[in-house]
Amino acid sequence: MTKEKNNDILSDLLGKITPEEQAKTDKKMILATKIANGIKAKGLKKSEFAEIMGKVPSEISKWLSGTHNFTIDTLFDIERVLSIQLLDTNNWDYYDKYEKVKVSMKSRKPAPIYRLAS
Amino acid sequence: MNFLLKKKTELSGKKATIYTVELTDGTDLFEQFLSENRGDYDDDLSDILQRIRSMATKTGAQVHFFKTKEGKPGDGVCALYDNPGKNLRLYCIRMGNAVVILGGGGPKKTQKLQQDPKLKEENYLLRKVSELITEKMVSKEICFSDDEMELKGEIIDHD
Repeated sequence: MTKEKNNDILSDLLGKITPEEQAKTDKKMILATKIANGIKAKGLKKSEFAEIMGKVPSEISKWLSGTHNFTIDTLFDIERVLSIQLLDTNNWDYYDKYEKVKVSMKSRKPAPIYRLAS
Repeated sequence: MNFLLKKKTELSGKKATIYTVELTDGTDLFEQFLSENRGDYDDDLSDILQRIRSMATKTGAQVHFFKTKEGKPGDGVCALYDNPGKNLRLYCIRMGNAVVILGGGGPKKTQKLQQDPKLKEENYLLRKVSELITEKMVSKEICFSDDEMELKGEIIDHD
């Protein structure tokens, strides 16, 4: 295959990656990095972290590879063990607050309309 | 053995610079890897490219993204992790968090590298490239840029 055609393959493959797909991969890689940094910050070896989590070290390597699909339970366990935040559960009542604001807006008396005297 | 290290602008970013290896006959190891696996492994190739771009633009080439010790001790030859259930292997030379040199690879069909002639060939080729890069760094024919984000030298092509 010619060099030009090979270059086309790279451009073609890159062109098919949607921004949503790339954003998802970015998040998985960032998540893996946050966990790796958390292990380091706790002063743990990968094998020690594996033992605490009840996993074999190769499983932890997969977690850190940026390819793993975590369950929510696993992420909560990692958060607890490493004392880090991976999932943002703050502001969970945002929708409730939003509804209250909407209701209070509706219940307000409409502003009076002033007309210029003719 | 002579080769050029070509910067891949479309894969590089503010966190890491990505290079490929072009041999004297014009073969680019990474582009050859793409063309050999196009069709049968499109999803895997897309995933590999996405991960390379994430490293280049967001995280840097963190060591935990790679299967290390795929070459001789300390030569930086490693492989990108295969996706769960997939077995497309790409060999690279990782030079810290900011520089990655992409080589070739292929589908991993056997447990041991030695049993797979294609992967063995790609792996040993990259080991040789790494050895020559080390020699050229010792002789100062190649060095890092001041910000340590790029390689500089006669065999580096920044097109």
